[in-house]
Amino acid sequence: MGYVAVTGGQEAIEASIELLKEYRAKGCQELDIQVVRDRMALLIDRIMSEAGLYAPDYAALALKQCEGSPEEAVFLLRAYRSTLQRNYVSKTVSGEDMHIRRRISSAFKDIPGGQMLGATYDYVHRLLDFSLKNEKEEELEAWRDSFVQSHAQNEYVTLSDTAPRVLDLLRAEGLLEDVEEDTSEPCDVTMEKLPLPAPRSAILQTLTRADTGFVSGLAYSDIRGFGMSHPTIGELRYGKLSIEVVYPLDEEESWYVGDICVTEVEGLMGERPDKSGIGVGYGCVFGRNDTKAIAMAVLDHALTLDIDSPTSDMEFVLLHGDCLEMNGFISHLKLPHYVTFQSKLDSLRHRKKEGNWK
Amino acid sequence: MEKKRLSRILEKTEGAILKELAEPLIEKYPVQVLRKPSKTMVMIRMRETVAKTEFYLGELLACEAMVEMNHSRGFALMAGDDLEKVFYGAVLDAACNMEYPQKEELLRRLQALEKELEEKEQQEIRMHQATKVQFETLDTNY
Repeated sequence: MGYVAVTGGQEAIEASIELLKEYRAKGCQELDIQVVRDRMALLIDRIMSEAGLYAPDYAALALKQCEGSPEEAVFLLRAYRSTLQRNYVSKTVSGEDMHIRRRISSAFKDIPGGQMLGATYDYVHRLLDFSLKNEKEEELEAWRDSFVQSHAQNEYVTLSDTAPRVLDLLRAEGLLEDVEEDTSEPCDVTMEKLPLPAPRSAILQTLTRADTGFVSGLAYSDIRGFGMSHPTIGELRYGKLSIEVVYPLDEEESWYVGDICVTEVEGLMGERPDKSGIGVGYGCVFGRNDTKAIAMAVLDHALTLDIDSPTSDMEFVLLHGDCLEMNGFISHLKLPHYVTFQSKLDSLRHRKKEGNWK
Repeated sequence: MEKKRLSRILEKTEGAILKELAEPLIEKYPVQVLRKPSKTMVMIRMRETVAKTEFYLGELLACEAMVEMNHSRGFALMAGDDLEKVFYGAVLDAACNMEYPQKEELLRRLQALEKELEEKEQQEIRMHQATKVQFETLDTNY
C-alpha cells in the first residue's frame, strides 16, 4: 500500500502541544524529579528496562515530561540515547557476582546461603492503605531512622551478600539438559537488524528490552497451554552488579563505573521428548521486576522448542514485543490515512456498482 | 591503590567531598583537560547460565573525563551525569598516579571514605538479612 503525505494543521498542532503542557501542569503541587525517581522506583525500573538504558534520573525526567506514560517515557529515553556516544563496553558481568538483596527458589526449600525474601509485594494484603493519604514526611523520616537504627550492628561481623547458584547443584549432578556452550561474539540488536533465526545473544537482548506486558502475556499463554512450559523457579535473585571497564591508562587494571540493579531468573522448564535432563530458561532484566524476568525465562526456553506454538515462533515473539516499535506502529494508525482509505472506499463502491458484492 | 578500589570509592562518594579533596591540588599543580567531562554510555556485556552465551543487557548512562596534572594523567568514568564530579574524580586519579609530598594524606582520606562506605553497605546487608526465610513443609498431602 502506498502512502500519501498530508500538509497543514501547523497552528492546531502547536496549540495541541501547548495544551499538553496545560494537562501536565494540573494541580498545584511541584513534581520533583527526585521524588519520582525514589518513590516510583518500580516504574523507573520498568522504563529503564524497556528503553534499554540504565539512567534512573532521566527515566524520572521522562515520566514527568509525559504525564507518566510508560510508552512515551521509553520513547524519550530511546531518542535521547541515540544522541549519545557509546564509548565503552563493560567487562563481562555474571549473576554469580551479584550483591544479593533478594533470593528465592520455588524448587528447593533449603538452598546454600538461604532464601531471602528482600523487599517484595508477594505477601502483602492488596488493601488500599488510606492512612497514606495523610502521610507526613516527618513521620516517614522518623520511622526510617528508627528502622535503620534497629538494624545497627551490635558486634562487628562482616556479612557476605554473594551466594552460589542454586542450579549448580543440579548441574553437578548432571540432571540438567546438556546444552552446547556458545562462545560466539554477541550480536547487538541496537546496531544491526535482528537476524532470523536469531542467535541466542540477540534473543536475550531482545527479550530483556521487550515490553513487560507483552513478555508476561506471551509467557502466560505458553504456560496455560499454547506452549509446553511447566516452569518451576530454580532461583530468582535480585541485587547489584558492579559494572567495570578496562582502565584506559593501564589495560591491566579495571575501573569501576557504578552499580546496576537487576533481577535474574533460572527457570526449570521440564524435559523435552528428544533430550534427557531438565531444560533451563534464563531471564535477566534491569531493576526489580520478578514477573518480567520469569516471563523472559519462559520465552527463552520456549524459543528453543521445535513445536507449533506462538511462543516458539521466533519471528512472532521477537518482532512484536519492542515497546517503542509496537506502540509506534499502533500509534501511527491515528495519523491521516485519508487518501488510502478513500481508495479502499472507491474500490468497494466500484465492486458494489458492478454487482460484484457478496 | 588499585584502580578498581579507587574508582569504587570515587563513584560512591559525594561530589562535594571529591571537590574538597581535589581543589587544593588544582590550586597547586597545573591541570590540563585532555578529555572534557562529557556524557557517554557503557554497553553492559553479560554472561547467562544455560549456554554461557554472552549478550548485551543494555546501556548504562555515564560520564567521563581525562586530565593531566603535573605530567601525570588521570581518568574517571562514573555512572550518571555529574560532570563536575567526574572531573574531580579524574584529578584525584591523576593525583594517585603522581608522586608528591601530600599523597599519603590523600590516600588516608580515601581509605577513611572507603571504611564509611563499607559500613553503609554492611548496614544495607543487615537490613536485608532480616528477611531470610526458612519455609517448612507440612505433613499434609494435597
